[in-house]
Amino acid sequence: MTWSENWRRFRKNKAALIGGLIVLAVVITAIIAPVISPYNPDDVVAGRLQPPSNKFWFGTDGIGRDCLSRVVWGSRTALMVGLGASLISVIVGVAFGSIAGYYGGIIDDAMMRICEILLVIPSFFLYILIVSIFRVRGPEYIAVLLALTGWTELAKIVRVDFFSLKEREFTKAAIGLGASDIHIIFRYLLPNDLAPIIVVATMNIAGFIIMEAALSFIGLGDPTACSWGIMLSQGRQYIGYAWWLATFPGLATFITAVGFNFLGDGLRDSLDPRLRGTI
Amino acid sequence: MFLLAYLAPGDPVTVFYLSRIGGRYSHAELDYIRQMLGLDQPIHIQYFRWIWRMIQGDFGQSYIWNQPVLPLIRSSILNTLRMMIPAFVLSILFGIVTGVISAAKQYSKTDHIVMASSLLMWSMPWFWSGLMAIYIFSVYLHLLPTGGMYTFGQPPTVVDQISHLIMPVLLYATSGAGFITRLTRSCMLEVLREDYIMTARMKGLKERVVIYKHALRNAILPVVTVVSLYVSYLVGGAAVIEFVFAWPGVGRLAVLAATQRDYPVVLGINMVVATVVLIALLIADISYAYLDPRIRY
Repeated sequence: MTWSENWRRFRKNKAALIGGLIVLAVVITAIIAPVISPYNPDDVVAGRLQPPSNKFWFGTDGIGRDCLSRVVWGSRTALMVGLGASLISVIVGVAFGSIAGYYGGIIDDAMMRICEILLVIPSFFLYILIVSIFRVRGPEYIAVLLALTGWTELAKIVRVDFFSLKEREFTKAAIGLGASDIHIIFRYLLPNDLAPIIVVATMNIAGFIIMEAALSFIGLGDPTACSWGIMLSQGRQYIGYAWWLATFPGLATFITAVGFNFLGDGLRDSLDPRLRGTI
Repeated sequence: MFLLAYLAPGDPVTVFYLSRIGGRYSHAELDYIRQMLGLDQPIHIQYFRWIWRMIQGDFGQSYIWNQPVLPLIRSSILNTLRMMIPAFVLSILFGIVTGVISAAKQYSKTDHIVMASSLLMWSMPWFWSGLMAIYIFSVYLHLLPTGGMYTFGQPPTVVDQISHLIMPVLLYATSGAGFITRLTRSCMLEVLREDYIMTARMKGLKERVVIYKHALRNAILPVVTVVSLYVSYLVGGAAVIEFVFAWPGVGRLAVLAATQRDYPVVLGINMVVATVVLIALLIADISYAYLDPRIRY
């Protein structure tokens, strides 16, 4: 299957294309944030709680900072958390899944028990526990926490696929030729399992972004950070008289999550037709 | 699974260790408090004492509320369940119905709309939609209360309680329904490819009978499996909803305790919630036997 064929299928899927465009827009926003944000996100530029106007499109927050600038800069935090957490979870999950799937037997059993334990512990309460004990509140710590509890799904997928890939002729041939385990995993097995990994990683980004916003929202984030969740938690305090405070950062979170989810959904359809329509 | 019970208390060691790094009190006061709480003992003694007491149902004293942890958790868990169970039932019913419809008419317009909207529901930051709902229905339209479980200073009536339940339950249900819809659809599609579905159709059975009687019954099993695996995730979602609507449930208690460093409460909640999740998994395991007669214990 060639990449141009994938691209052709991807282009036909409207939802996926929209998702891709949204993601592209968010990424560009994050990159050129200093250029397009009208004010410095941390500067007090006007009176507090100004409603949206020509000068401040999204209004101002509880201490008079421009909400539009903060939403724009918040995209950096969101992307950093989403992409960072997803990258870490891919590394951990794929490593874990490959070892379990390739070696099988007792190693596999032991590793899967670890996975199950992680799956059973309510990760949300675990975050609360860890955040409260270690007082780590910055977005970068939250990203690591999210990744370290969010890799199990990937590990399971890779493991199951390795079971079947291991039995294929090309793997048998490689084993017969005396290739090392590392060589077989990286050269023969992983490249054939790229599609589901990419799809799950993309959809995980959306989940991680929402989780970061949720944790910041309930007061476990760094209150000085410029993040959508922090803005939302401030918006909650003023929900009675300043609707704009909560509306725009929430909308930004929602749109970004929709973008990544639609993109992931479309990627699955185009990269791997066998998975078409599965969850 | 039982390993979990041993794993979770691994944390209090660190917890107690860190809580020694003081606060605003003088050293003498701190020493006194430590003695009172038994924090002057070596770590391993504290640890075993903690486990031993927990086995006996004693989770220790809350630092802030100054009362035993267990009653605190018990009352808040009941409140959580009061919100979670109706929401859970709603989202499962809704998710399964839409999922089946969508699978029965694969690639139709209905299917595309259902799939897109379920993905939208899934992407919704549910705490944000909660805030928006509060703004629209409570602040703007004055239709529903902003939060809490009942109105203060009024005798608790059924109507009053239901009006407090509507928003959290509906929001919580929508956040889960999108996921269950997609799950049901993919399980249904898998089952619909099986030979016995073809047989049923060739017998001349109505399409409705084939879908609901033959296909759904077999598709429901993997749905139960996956949903039960995500129970722990759903509990976390409930915590955020509770926080938005000031619902006095276990998630809100955990957040309050965490922000005020009340470790016995946070730890106790972790243990209790993990246990509840394990019980939920057990129930799911048992329900397989009912759903699939091939499985016998």
